[in-house]
Amino acid sequence: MLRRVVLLLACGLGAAPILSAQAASIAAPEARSGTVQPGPRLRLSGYIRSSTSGEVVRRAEVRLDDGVVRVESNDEGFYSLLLAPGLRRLRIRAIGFTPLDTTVRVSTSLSRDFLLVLRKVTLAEVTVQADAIGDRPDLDPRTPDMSVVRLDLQAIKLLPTVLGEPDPIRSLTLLPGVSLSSDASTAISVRGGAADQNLFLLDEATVYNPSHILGFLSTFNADAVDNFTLYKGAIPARFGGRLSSVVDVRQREGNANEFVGSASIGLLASRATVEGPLPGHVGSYMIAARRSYADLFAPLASDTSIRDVRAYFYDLNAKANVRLGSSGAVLLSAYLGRDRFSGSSDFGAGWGNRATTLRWNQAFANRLFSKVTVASGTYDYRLDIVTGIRDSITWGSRIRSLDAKVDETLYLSPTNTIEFGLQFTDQTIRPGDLVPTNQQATFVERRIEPRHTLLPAAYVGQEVQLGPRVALRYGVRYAGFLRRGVATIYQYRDGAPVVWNRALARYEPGVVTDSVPYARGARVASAGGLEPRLSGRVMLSETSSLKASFARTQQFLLLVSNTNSVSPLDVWEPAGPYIDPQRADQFALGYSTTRGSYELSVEGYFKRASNVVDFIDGSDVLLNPRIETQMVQGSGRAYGLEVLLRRATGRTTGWVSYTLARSEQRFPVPARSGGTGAGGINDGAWYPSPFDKTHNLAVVMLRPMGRKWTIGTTFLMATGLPTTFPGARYTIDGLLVTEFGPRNGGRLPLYHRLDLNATRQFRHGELQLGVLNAYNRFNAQALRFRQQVNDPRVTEAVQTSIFGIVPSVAYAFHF
Amino acid sequence: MRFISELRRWCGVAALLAASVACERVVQVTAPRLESRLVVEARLERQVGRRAPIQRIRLTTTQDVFSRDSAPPARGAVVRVLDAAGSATPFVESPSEPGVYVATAQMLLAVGQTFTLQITWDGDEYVSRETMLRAVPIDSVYFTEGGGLPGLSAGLRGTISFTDPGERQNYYLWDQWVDGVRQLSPDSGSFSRAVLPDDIINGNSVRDFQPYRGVVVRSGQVVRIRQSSISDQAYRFYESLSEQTDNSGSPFGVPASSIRGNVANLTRPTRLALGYFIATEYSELQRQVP
Repeated sequence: MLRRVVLLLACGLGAAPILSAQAASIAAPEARSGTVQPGPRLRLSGYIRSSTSGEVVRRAEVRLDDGVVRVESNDEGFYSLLLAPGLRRLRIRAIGFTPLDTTVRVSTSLSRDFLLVLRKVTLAEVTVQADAIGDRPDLDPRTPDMSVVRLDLQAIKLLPTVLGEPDPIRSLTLLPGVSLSSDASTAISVRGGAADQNLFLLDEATVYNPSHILGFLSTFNADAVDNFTLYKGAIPARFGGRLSSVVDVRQREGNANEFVGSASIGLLASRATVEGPLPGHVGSYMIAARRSYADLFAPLASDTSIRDVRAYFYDLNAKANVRLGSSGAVLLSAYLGRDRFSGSSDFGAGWGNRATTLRWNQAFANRLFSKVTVASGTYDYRLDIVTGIRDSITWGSRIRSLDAKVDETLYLSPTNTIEFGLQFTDQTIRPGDLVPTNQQATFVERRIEPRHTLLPAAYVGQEVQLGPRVALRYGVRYAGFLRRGVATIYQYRDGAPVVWNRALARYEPGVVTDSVPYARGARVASAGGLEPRLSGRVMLSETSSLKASFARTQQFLLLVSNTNSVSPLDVWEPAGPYIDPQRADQFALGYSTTRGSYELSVEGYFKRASNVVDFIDGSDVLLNPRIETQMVQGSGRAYGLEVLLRRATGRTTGWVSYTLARSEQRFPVPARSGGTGAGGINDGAWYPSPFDKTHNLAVVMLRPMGRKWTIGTTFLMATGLPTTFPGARYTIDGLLVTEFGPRNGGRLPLYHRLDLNATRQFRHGELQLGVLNAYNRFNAQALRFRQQVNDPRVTEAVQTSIFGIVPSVAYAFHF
Repeated sequence: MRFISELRRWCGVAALLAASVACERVVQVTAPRLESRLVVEARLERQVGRRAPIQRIRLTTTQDVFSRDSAPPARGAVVRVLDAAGSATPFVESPSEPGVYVATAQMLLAVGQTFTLQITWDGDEYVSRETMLRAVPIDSVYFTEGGGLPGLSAGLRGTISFTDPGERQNYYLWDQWVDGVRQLSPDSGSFSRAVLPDDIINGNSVRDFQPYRGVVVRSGQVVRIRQSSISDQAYRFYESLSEQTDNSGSPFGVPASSIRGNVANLTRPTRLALGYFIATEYSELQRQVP
């Protein structure tokens, strides 16, 4: 502890520049030559931590003054360096922290933690990612990383929010390649992929439905997390299981130095966080809670149907971190989030996620960093519905997984790191149980048979620097899948669970001919394959680089959702005898550069996928034991160009994000289903996927106004989402029925919106005033056609928008 | 499934609650024009225990989406229905009702019999087959309070009880008349067609069931409820019809899709007919609201 205090004082009070000047003369020859001096090497390793809280700082850059030797702290804040003996100057940079230049006398291999001072986000010097020369840019041209987005959670709190509630997932959509399918939903599409193709990890536990309020807000409390990283391509080999992206979220460990807290009151919800050292200063803890309170205002509504509604959500985040000496720690992380929704006495619903992680981090011999993790993730919902005067039912569904992982990182040298690991996931899905709750029930009990799967995986990868210009990160992952009993697998005529009826131009469920029971543990279906991953960069100059990547991904699980937007009632379905695993290959090429305070990143990508899923017209997916009869599998492709221009310094900071993209899919009728080259959805031709946006622009700006105020603005403009237009109408039983044209053959109107936010800083808090959709643009989220009530002969087109102009106010304070 | 539709509507209310400023507006859109197609409304039906009446079939065509005209009749068609023995009953176009084709003889509609509809129109030959299913009798009609769903006002609803036969698969379609007026609501807030699959009530005694929960009836009105047994494909047709017409545009509505019937075009398969051909036996009771 004393050592840390001395180090902090030395760095923070001005001693460092003096020492740095001395060290610079030693390091200068190496920097000029660009080579490492021969001779013995000693290892320096440890953790990068926040001086304020003692929490680890993830992905900090530690660079020797020669400009060549450079490492990054890992996701647990650990770094490892090989240095020549002597006085060595180190430059340590991390997003959101004051740069640290320090010197270390290296005479033996040693372990040392470095403390970074949190950059206070004052109103006079607001940062987006980095705000001073020497800070680490987010779009670092020197790393082989590409297609990675790391959110600065401090900065997003200054941007406009939905009803005062900062939402990391909505903030992600301000960056290239990420979009929302609806203003009412936080289900994201990454590079044209479907919403279920994104893996959300909270401290390595899977979060299956990361949303509250039917998708309106994400489950991630911005006060409780300190890392929010999106991999939208070049996914490291340690991740797998989804086709399009991985969102790696880490909860904060809590302040190890002192007890502190904060709270926030907004229109939608209130939040509170407390954190502090564990007894005996063996570690730290963090507890955060959030609850919405729209239900408290519902009785004031004039609409009786809303007046009776009770709807709220809550979150609980907790984490404890026990340090094991100077090189290890045990972390226990937990999350519980729940939505409750009921109306009068006829309807009650609850749904939510639980995630728990126990992890042991340990550095061995200053060069091997080991993580052993056990994690579980659960999503479930339960509904209580009065279906008639004397009838009521409960309806529940659940998915639960238990993961065991070992992840090892071997730091051979600052330019050569090897990663390897094993993962094992046991997953159980209960698609739905419908149970009458009264004795003389109208409805019969229906229980859809649970699905049991095992998912083993192993990976190995290496990050290596080949001279001063070239760096490579490559690896391979083997992902396996086993579906096992107990299970009943239906047999269909001609082996076709869904059949194309050519005469009637429609898909029909296949004819069941038999069913085969599988005993507990018996193999029902299996799959697997290698997933090569590769990314690399070539430095074109000191500040610019060319990057390229390839990644193959597999997905053995799909979300059964045929609604316009992901809903809490959607259930997951594993691959099986009739559902093939989805696979995708993604290629990307990028250019990254920094020029003074500006950073520019340009990336092009091409992605092709097989066995992607769409649902047949009129599909009935809820409580359906044979979901394979309601869907078809086909091919997908997506390609695009992403541009991110960021200004990181100056009074006005922010970025411009632009994506030009195309996402398409096709579903020709399989031969076993009666395919003869024609028929099927849109006659088997390529058509826009539901997430296709040709143009997507976001302009984000932060600017201090005086010493007390900060103005944050976002402007969004995007091509309207695909929709299906009608081509004719007809009359059945006196009702006007619409005959639609090709699926997704039309588009909703152009989307654009301006959001404003003003933050006023006080001594112990901040007041936020915001306006969403400042000029009250009517942004259509859906288009439907209905029969006029007053003149039933007339069909009218109706657009629905979610946001009008929405003011918000929130106040946050610290104690 | 009916309660799933109700659930979707609840979700719609929740979404609106979450975004209390959500709104909708009528817009003008330019829709592509599809080739005109034949629309078939052919429902052979007979009340249980009675002789079948003279059957009628309505043939119309599709029209522009935003047309203000009634459905154009499909005139000049040759229509006939064959029973299982191959005996044909011709239907001729009514001189007073263009597009309505009336059987030239009384048909013997027997339960379990398969009927074939043949239509020749505009140079194309259409065909469809359907088997008549046995009706499940309504035990009683009475009136109970409704409510519960968002937006539904208090008041009495036509209510029935019946017992589903467990030994056979049958799907239900209900029609309701109030003072002789058929209850078909174009309002997306109400159920346009009430249908129920067999498997969720199989073998059960169904009590206090309100097929038209959105329709409030008043004292003195005469309510007639018809319960028809339909096939699984007819059920899918009406379920799709309800999903389309009930779609409130919420994020949890199903994406727009066309409804496919069971009438094939043998001449030009890609120019398929829309609509349906069903054969059904029904049970019907009526009662005055006290």
